[in-house]
Amino acid sequence: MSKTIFYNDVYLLDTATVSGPKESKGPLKEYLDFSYERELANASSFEKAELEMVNKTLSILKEKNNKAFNEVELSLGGDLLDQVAISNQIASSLSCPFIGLYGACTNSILGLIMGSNFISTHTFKSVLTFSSSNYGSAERQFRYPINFGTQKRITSTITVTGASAALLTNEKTKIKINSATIGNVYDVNWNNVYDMGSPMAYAAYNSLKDHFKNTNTSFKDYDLILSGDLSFLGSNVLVSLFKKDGVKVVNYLDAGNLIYQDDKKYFCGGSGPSCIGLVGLGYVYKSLLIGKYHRVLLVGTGALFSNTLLHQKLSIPTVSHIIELERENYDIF
Amino acid sequence: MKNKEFEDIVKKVYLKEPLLKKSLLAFLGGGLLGVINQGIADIIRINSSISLQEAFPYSSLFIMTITTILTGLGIYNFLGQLFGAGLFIPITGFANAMVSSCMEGKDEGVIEGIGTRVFSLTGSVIAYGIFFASLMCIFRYIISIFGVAL
Repeated sequence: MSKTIFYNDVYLLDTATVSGPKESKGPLKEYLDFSYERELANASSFEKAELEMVNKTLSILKEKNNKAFNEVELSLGGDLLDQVAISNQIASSLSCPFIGLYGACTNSILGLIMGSNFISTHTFKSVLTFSSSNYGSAERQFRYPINFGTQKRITSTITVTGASAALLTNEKTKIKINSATIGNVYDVNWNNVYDMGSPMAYAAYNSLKDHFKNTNTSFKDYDLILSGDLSFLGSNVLVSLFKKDGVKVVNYLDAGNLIYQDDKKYFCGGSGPSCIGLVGLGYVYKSLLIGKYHRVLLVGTGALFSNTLLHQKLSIPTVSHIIELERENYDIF
Repeated sequence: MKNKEFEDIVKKVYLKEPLLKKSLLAFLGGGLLGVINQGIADIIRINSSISLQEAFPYSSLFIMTITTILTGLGIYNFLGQLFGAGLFIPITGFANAMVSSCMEGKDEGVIEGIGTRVFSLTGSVIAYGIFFASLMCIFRYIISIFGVAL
């Protein structure tokens, strides 16, 4: 059973999102701040491209909020590479303390939660969080070389290329961060790397159940519940898990299903920390601003898998973290 | 919830791999590759004094070169996804694995990048190829003592 943290005076000041070429062809392209035409951006390797994308994201964020950006007291970042390499590189160019996070595909949500904790306890006044992933560097890290022509299974997912960043502050803005649930790590003895949506659905199911119980809410109390990268298969598993308990799943979407066009070449959809990063901090954030949604849950899901341990016949543990965003009703008619 | 219950739920919604379609495509891809290889060998045989037996290494080399170029251009991925084992098992899979590993390492330099990565995927093919060839040689020698020739 995981606890829910309730926050006082934690607000989302602004976000920035940068994507690769595949994402900019998807249905949510108008909500992205900038898109590159190549997965390699203007760099010579995928890792350098990822660096460039994070730099671009931060510069967009800085352009929009120059004063607030310079007053950032702590930065939190994460990515998928060994030693959180990309985020550490980026941090060396920032003039504030930095903590590297690793929660696999939950990185962007984990960053928001950790930042909110520091602000709610008055440790820091403003916190910058960012996360990134790149299809090429993730394939290198977890799978095969990018030009290796193996056949992918239909249950596979595509790592989303892109970076997202957010500024958290204690000063009042339109969007408030209400609460968060840091999830347990679950192990369902899963070792199929071609489908990680299903075991992640199990973690998301448990974390959501805990969050609903702690906040005394249910699906219908939220305008949107957005899960990270369960993809087509995983989101169906999540719905079935709730169905078994007799809970009706409404207002539920999955970022992995939203990010790409409905096309067989994307298999089951998107995955990676940027998946919920781009959809949550792009589409959902902007929808909250215009009042399309009022209260949303962002459910980050991550498969904490290591190739080395997998080859040593160990299974893939999964985790899911939840954060609740609410639009402050401050236009009074 | 027990693992068993979870597995049952997953099984219910699981997507079925189109095995028949994939097998047929692999059969077609592998077969086509064989036909092309035979065609090239025949062309070499007709236009030179090389016998058909000797022409096959040259035609394989030709196929490998084409694979290398297609891998470099990024076209091989689509063929690999389409034909699966039809292209993965023959020499094309081997060439592709080596070239893609090389390309992967090009930003880390000639020694650390390309040199160390080149056999990262095909290393086990070479290692076990040599190992089982050695075993076979020993086996052949032993039975030749008893007058059996392989």
